Amino acid sequence: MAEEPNSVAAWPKEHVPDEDVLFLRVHQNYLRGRPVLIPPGVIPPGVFTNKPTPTDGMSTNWKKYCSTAAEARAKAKEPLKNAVVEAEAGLVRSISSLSVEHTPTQIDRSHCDVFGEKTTEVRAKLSSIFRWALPLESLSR
Amino acid sequence: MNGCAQYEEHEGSKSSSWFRKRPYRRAEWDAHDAKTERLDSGPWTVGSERQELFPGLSQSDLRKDLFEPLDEAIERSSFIATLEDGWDDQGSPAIRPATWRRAVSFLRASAAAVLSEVGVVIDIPEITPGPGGSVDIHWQRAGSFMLINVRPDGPSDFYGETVDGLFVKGNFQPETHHFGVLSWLKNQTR
Repeated sequence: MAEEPNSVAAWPKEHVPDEDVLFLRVHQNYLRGRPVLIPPGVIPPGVFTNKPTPTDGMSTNWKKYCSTAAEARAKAKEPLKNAVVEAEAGLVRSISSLSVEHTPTQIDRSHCDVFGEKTTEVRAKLSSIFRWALPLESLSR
Repeated sequence: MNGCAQYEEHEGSKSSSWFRKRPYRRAEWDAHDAKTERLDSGPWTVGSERQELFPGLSQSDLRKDLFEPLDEAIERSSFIATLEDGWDDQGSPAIRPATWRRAVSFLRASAAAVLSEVGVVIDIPEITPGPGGSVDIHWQRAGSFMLINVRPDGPSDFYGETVDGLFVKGNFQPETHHFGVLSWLKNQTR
């Protein structure tokens, strides 16, 4: 879990249905080399990593408790430096090595982890599955 | 396929469930793909003379078609070598300049080898930060994709897939030209 790893959840853990959407933030430094930002192009596969360590999960936000991509972006340390991509939980689970679990924290009921090793194969597939929800319009310093 | 790659190609069975569940086509977002021209109208034979393959194009034309946009992409990616620890606000490690150079040297050498050996001008990839101080080289178009991950040291790896259910993956040393993978991808996306 990349956010609040030591916190105690104040919310009950729920099952995330396959049809429900997960948001994932994309930091602007993944996009800095692009000639144009709009249209946003393919999703950089580097965003699909476990943080803070490879044995943790990949943090996402469940649309049930984070209703818009803008709301997911607002959870970033510096929101304007982030774009947002999205995918249904079932599509993520269709990669057999991955699982999606609701991992709420005290401050974020929407928090979910995508567990499983993010190999080159897995990252390439995730890049194909996810789609842009909120592109980056400009680069910040 | 050359070098020390472990080559696998399968007719979909292992990944068929994943393919069935993949509903998205990304053409509407692929701004770069629109610029790609197919110079290889095929069929062609490895080792044939360039003039036979592309009667209207000289060797210098082909090299210009390849290396001008490729070098522009490499130049645009040079920011990767300047990323410091925590560059994503989530603790990702810095990417060493030597790792970026390793990646782009591999890419340029492979592109030159593909052009020289089989007369194919590769598509221009995205060169982006990867996990753990690595660099990603990524192609994606019309349901097919290839991801090459170049690590700071030791062997690197790749994974590619076509819309028809074929995939290729393996490990390699970037210092060894691994151009077979790139021409394989090119052939699948004609």
